Amino acid sequence: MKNGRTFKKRILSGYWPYWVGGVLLGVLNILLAALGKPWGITGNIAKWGLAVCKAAGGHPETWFYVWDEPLNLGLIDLLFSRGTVLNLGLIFGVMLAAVLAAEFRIKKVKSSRQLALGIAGGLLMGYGARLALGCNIGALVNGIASQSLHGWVFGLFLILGAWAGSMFMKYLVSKTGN
Amino acid sequence: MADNRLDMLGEVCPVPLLTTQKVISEMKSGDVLTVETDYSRTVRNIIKWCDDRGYVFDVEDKDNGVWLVTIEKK
Amino acid sequence: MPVKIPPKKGLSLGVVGFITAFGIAAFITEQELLLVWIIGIALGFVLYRSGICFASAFRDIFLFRDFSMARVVIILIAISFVGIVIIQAFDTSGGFLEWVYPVGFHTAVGGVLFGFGMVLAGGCASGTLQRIGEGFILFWAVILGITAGSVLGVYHFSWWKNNFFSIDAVFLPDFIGWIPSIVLTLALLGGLNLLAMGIEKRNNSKNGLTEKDLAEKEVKSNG
Repeated sequence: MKNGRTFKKRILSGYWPYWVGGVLLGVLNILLAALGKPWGITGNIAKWGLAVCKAAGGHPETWFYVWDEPLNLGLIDLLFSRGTVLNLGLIFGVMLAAVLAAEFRIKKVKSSRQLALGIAGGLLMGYGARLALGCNIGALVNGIASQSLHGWVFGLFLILGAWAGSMFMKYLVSKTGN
Repeated sequence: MADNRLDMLGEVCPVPLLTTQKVISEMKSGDVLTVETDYSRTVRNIIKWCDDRGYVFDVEDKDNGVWLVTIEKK
Repeated sequence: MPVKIPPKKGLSLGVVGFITAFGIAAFITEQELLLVWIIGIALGFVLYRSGICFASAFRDIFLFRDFSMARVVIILIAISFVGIVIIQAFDTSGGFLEWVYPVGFHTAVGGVLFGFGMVLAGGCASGTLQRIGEGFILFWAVILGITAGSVLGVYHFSWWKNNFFSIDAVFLPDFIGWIPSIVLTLALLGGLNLLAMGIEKRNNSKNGLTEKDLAEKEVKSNG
């Protein structure tokens, strides 16, 4: 079992240590803040949902909400908005890194249970992020970094939710084998 | 000594490590487990866990983005 | 030595091609968007190479008693904090106050639901985008869930805000002053980091391993 050592060395040189990633993400986040607004993800995803609602005949622009900028649900405007460019960039940045390392692969859905958990988790995350006005990045990291109280409150209750979720997953794996 | 295989293709964290822990806890000392995964973070997680526990492990590239992690129970 | 399997050239070219094409389109629409596009690509690249995952930061504390990722999140917050305080100090227009949002019961409910959801799905919002980029079909379903949940969340927001406790944006320096707010934030982040380090150390010694043991083990297995 000598390869394990070699592999670990390679994966460690190919994979950056966690703290290096943390520092670089911090610098990029500051750059975004200097450009007008720090990193955020889910606000833009919500706008795409509302744009679909509008296209289907709804009037989501009349719903009361605290938006970071005037709501513009035109499809081209939305595609070339900061949020979409940033989110798409993230997806393609990951893909670029994976492809260059010869690690990209289409990963199939494993089971209907996994799919159900994914959809349920997604719904909860989307709903929760909108109530809290941000996700891990927008509310937790940048809420605290901007000295806004909502970041700390969000973080505290996020830990509670993550604890409950962890216990649930542990129970599920112990019951079903995988 | 027995050989065990675990197909974790398509699984995301934390399922692969939780399942690996569960299978290993049911194995005898000296038994070997091979985990097949297509998720790089899973490889990293399992390696770290093995290191913390002092288990010997091996990693092999099977294909673009598929790894075989072999772990021997101490 | 394991043989490194060569990358698929066509796929690499396709990804680079799309990145270039969208970059040009973004630049034509608005010059600043090119910069945002590059930062986005860089964020994705860093996330993948470093393997940072925000969902695992909170989940692994409970499942594997692993605090390494949680400490990275604290580092990320601390660095962002220092940079943003400097930006806030030089910004005389007060535009940064737009990043400060209302807080109330809805924040707490949102936090619990988000925390539960990200563990079920196996990734938070950035994790979902990240895993889509890595080729997980599953996370297309997750992002559809996030989108639908978001629409419902926006729709219900006023109900939560009107029927339960909620106050307008609380910008800490406005309430306790700039210096106390900066000191308090740094002290809390530092304290949490020390707490995480302390628990990690205690866990290692519980397993019968001290840092010295781990270092010795490393030397032995290399030889």
